[in-house]
Amino acid sequence: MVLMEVSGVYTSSKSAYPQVVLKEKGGNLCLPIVIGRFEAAAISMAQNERKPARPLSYDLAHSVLELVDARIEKVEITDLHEGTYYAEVYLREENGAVAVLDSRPSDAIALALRMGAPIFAAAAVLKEAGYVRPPDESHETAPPALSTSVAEPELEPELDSETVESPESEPGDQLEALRRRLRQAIAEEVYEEAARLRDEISRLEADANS
Amino acid sequence: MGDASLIEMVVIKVSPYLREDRPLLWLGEKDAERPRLLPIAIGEFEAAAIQMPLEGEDPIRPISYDLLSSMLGRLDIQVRQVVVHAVRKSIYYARVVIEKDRRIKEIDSRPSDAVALALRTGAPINVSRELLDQVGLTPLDDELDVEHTLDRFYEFEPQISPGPEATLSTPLTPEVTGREPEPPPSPAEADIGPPLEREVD
Repeated sequence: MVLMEVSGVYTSSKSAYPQVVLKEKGGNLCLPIVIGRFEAAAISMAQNERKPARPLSYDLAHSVLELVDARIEKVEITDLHEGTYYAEVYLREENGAVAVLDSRPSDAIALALRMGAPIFAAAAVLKEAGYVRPPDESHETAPPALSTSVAEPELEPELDSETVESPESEPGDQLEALRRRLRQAIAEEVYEEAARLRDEISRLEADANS
Repeated sequence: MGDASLIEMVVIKVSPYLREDRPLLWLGEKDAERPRLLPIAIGEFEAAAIQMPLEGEDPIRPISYDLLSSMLGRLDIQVRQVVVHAVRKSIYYARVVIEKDRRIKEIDSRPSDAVALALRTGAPINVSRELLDQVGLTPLDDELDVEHTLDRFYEFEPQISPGPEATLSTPLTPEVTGREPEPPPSPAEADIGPPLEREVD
């Protein structure tokens, strides 16, 4: 495991979605992870020690943990599998027991920043998806384009042939199925698919209204 | 609990893509023949998080609320209830009531977070009677079920402004990213993906 810190949250004109870039503490190895806008805003607020007007879900979690004297010991980016990053949150209970909980990286990072917990990344993940930022390069330079396969998960090829274009199904069913998949895509942080699904939904809705 | 100052609600639905792309969370009185309704405008991420358990969908990856709920389980914390208790300057406020070692504690929360958590922990969703009396949408005499009341709302939707809860708006400024911000997306691009959460004044 390599100790990381949050380098920044970036937007790119190439993608509808931001990415959080982790950087090796004291080093130049960077790891870009595409995340949702909500999660991105939650991370950059914590990084800049700004408080939202109202508590976000992460602030709620923070408050709960504080109330019972539990804390986040560390979080780890553990794996990268078929374009999806995996993370684990180490929760230390008041009695000292530690539980390891499955998490999305964005949630883990947003929590770690609020709780002052260190963020680690597996060496294997860094080897696969990391890039080295030359020492003379500062923040002025954007991280690499999202088109590198890792940060931008490929759409599943069979999606186009599924329900979307199927003339047999009712338009309402199609819409519902699409909305369900959109929710899943948002939850799983597969944003390129989410964008595509939203387009499809808008098109169907427009058709239905015309 | 039988607290007369509270009314138990259920999530009627989350209606997608209303004006300005802001989903509405519809709460309705649970034990009423003609339930009064309370619409709250929420963010898209929060809307998805509420709809998934409603529709029995298991996310392939745990989202924020699933993580929170597994932390609560680990820590032997029960969510006793969540309460939407106030609206001030047109922003809704809620609290999450938890119990640990027989001690009850209350945590300030946005309604969407409270409801998303309640749906995952089986906790009742309550609204203060006073609040519902003030701002609840009451069915008219000829509206025999909830759908009729919802229809009326949507028919007149441009004239009715549902109260929002606070959502998050953090522009990714140079201070944050350490570089110049991207130019704003063209309208066509802006339509892709969930809207940026807007700050409520």
